[in-house]
Amino acid sequence: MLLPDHQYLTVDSLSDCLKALRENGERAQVVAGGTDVIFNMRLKLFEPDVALSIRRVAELQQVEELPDGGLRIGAGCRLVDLVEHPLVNERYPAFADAVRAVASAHIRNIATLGGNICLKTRCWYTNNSEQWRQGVKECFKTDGELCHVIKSSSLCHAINNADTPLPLITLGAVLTLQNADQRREVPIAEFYRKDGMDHTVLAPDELVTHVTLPPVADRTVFLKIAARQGMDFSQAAIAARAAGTGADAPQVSLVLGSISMAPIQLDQPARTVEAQGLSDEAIEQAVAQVRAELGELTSLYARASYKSHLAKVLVRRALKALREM
Amino acid sequence: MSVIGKSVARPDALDKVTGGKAYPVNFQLPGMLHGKLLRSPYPHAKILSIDTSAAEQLPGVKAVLTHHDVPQRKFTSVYFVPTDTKSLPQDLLIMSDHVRFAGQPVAAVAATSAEIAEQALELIEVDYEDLPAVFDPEEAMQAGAPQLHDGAENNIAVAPVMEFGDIEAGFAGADHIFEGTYTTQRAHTCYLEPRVCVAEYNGNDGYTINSSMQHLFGLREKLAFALEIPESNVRVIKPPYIGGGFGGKLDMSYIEPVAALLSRKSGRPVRMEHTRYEDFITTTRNPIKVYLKTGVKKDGTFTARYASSILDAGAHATHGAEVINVHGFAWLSSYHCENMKWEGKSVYTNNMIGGGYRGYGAPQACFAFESQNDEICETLGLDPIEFRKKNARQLGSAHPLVPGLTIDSYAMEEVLDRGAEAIGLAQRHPPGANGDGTTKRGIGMALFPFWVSGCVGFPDIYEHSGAIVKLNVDGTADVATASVDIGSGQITTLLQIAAEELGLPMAAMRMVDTSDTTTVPFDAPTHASRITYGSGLAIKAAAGEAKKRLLDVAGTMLEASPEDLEVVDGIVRVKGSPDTALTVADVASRAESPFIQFTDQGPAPTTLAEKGTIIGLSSMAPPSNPSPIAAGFVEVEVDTETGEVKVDRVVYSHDLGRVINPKGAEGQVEGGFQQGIGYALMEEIQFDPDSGTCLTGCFLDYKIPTAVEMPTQIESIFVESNEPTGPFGAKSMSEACVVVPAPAIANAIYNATGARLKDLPITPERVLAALGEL
Ligand SMILES: Cc1cc2nc3c(=O)[nH]c(=O)nc-3n(C[C@H](O)[C@H](O)[C@H](O)COP(=O)(O)OP(=O)(O)OC[C@H]3O[C@@H](n4cnc5c(N)ncnc54)[C@H](O)[C@@H]3O)c2cc1C
Repeated sequence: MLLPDHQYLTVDSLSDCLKALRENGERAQVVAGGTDVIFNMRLKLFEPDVALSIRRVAELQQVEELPDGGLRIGAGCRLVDLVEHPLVNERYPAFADAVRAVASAHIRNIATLGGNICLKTRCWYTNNSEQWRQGVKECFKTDGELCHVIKSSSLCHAINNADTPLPLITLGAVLTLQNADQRREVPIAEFYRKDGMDHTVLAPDELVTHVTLPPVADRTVFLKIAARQGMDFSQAAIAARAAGTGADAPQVSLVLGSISMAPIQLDQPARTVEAQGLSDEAIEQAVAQVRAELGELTSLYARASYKSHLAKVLVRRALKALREM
Repeated sequence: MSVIGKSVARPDALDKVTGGKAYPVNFQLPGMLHGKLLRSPYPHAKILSIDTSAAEQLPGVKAVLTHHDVPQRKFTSVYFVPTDTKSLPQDLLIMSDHVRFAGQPVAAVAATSAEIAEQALELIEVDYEDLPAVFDPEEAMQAGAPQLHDGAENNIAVAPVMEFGDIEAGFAGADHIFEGTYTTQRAHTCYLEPRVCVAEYNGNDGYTINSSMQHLFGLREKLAFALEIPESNVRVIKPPYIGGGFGGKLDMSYIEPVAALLSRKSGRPVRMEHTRYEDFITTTRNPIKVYLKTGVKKDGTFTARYASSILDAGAHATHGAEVINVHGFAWLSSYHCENMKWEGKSVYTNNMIGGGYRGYGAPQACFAFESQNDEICETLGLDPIEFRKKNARQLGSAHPLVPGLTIDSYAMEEVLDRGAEAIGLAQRHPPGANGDGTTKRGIGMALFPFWVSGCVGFPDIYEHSGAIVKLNVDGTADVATASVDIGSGQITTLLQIAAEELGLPMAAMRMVDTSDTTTVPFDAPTHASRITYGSGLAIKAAAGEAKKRLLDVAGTMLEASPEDLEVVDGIVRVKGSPDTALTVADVASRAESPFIQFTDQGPAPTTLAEKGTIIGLSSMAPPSNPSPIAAGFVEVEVDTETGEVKVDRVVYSHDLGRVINPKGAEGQVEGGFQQGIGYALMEEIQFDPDSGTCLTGCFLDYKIPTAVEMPTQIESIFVESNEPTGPFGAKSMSEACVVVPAPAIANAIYNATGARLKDLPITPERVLAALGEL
């Protein structure tokens, strides 16, 4: 359980950071808060030559107010800073709730937003010590050709367990990705891939530098269910947003997380309540449409039937909560 | 009483909150090496060959061991039974060519750093022959299942049976018969300090060991046995305290003998420390599947009780061969019935080895019988308190198993009545009737009436205890005992007992923290809720002896008869004339002074008889280890849509004889509830069914309750029944509080929802399944 041999590199500026990333590419591992990456290095899940700490890069740690009423948040901001930030709480309460729902106060004190957005997918076969992994065959994550979760699958089914991306997707947040040469803006809704292995569109030499939130006046909500309240990953979580007031909801977005390799946007249920409003009957109709949108579910961390049950419960609760706002 | 019954502060508190430098994990020796174990990834295999040559060549590596280098003498690792009594199966080797569980050590390395030792492990090549494995105890008993140990037919390690009266006639005479099967899971004690040791070879076949464990003399005996050396060649150092045990450190693990042998081979001290993964696969509460069949009259009187229990011992019997018995005794002796039969089986599988854990078989039994008792009461419309009183034993009842003995302290009725009153049991709603929508509330209770772990109520079950109490010339006292403080606060309570007996203030008392197996008398392990009672009696006896000597010397000095003297708050005085007095310091100084003392009045008179340190020694077998009684009452909230259960309120009612330290007792009970709620609702060591590897080897995947899961209110009621054989009337308490939460919570969930949960842990998935929602 000791860290593999590596060089620990600390950079003070974004440009140094991007240069180092360009030089080391896939041999480097970005360390922000380190709450996830260091643990995985101990498990020898990856053994980078260079651990590149971005903790001292001040440019990544600002929360800027934008003229349009939105916010631009540096990826290096600690979760605790966001939890306590008045503008974050005021303008994006569901996002603030999601940040607050991550882990525990101890972890939020060092964990960052960028780290949460880029959090590697998890699986209890591979996120396990190297010695035990030897007992099971190599899987996609350990250079094999197998997924222990669904043995016949050609994909890795590890779970995307991050909480904050869900409200960020409903809010229409845009990520700024940057390498030594250029910068691109990618809506977070297009950032994730449905593959536990290669779970984002981020290139090895790229960094997530900022998250831009447009102004949002709609009702929003974030709900999470975990096996333990004190400190735990979600077994299922939802972020929801609705325009309008009361039962009237002309525009709705629903994003489920932690039940599969990527966040899931629920289209049909959203369309149903957009068309019919947030009545109890419409909500039940939307709930009935949830399972079809989830695709294949696995029994990783919790039974598949339980996950689909939770998905429905969360949709029902989120829609009712929106109606009451 | 001046010290007993007071919440005096813990003398070890400051050290612990400022880093705990005395924890064994912080112990170091100059020049020490670091050892690591290579563990088998396969659950059942034969080792065909091991090549360690590359590892040996790695710079920094000083010694490598495989099964070829270790004695092949089979032993049991359980501390409280001397190995050569053979009452437990001797089926364990330090290292073997036969792997029986995923994680069994197959090689060890000592190197100048832990990093190098870990790297060296990667260089060891092991060629395994995979053998078919079996993980389910019932499958393991089937014909054709892989056989794990020679001589254990159908993989049955032990199969005790006990029968009283006529079970068939009892069922024939019943108005109603209830049947049910109850299962419990693997759970870890989650001590926070990992298992860790430093072993040093001192030549001449001798070793000195420092370890985080619960029994000095047990470790000495096991280590000497496994290494085939005389017992006194092993010197075990007593740590001032360890970072938790809860029964999880009641056996020698692999690291102690391996570190000893690595030290012998390298000529340097060797330190070994478990990772959390290693701790999680080292000991566990044994899973037990209990089938109960109970016959009752219309009024609830038992006419026949039958139980069969199948325990998953894992790869080696160790504690599993004894937990099964203690589990059976807990069930048998809980309630009175003329006709009872119990059949137990402890079965080998290719799972991890079991172990001790607070309660030792009783939680598995109590979950079954108190769940069924609730069902009986609900079905027949009986009052749960009256039903239990009717069937339980009474003060003065015959001992359930040992003819001729009686139960001499037993405040069961008061325990039940006060608890029921505090939670409002009589006012609870019928099942499913409290709450609306998806939130239901319920109240449930469970009683643990008799016999938890070693609290058996009869003498001579290896509870021997000893102590040394020595007065210093400044009026303070040093107390030495071999019993290890595993975090439960015994340093404080034992000192309180000594202080009360001596007549000294608490501030004058000190626990000696550097004793070892060569300097203090034998003391049984810190297990079986026995410390306050067993070690307490020994300490009281040693203090009594020191006090006798103190009064003899003071008698000479005060020219009074010792019988006329008393010691109050550090002052020795003549009863009835408090001005004729000396301080304890005066007396102890006089006893130790080398010369005739000159005072203002001239030379003080002296005789040789009064000279010598004032000291008391005891080494004894306590007359019993009487059973505490516990009843737990809980109020829960169940979310019927998600299956989540939240415990809001707890009332704990205990008969513990006498409270020595109220805060300490509350701490035990509250900590016990935290382990109990974890066992009830979320904790489970899980394995991959294909490979047998552990999936829950860290605190993210093995869930223990955090402060957030704890109820905001835990009310502790202590009933003082005054145990006549106990020190100042005390008996013990620290296990029963872990036993009752699971059935109390399950019964409260029934009261909330009408669903009966018979499998632990009661996860949201299981709640939903029981409600028909999944
Ligand atoms: C006990 C425990 C409980 C947890 N519970 C939760 C939970 O409830 N919900 C939840 O969502 N998470 C949880 N986590 C996971 C994790 O702690 C959080 O997701 C955290 O926000 C990660 O942030 P970090 O800065 O520590 O990331 P790091 O560990 O530093 O990095 C995580 C990953 O992101 C990459 N990365 C970091 N920053 C950037 C960047 N700017 N650009 C590109 N890549 C980057 C790293 O290379 C790495 O792959 C938990 C972790 C633990 C240990």
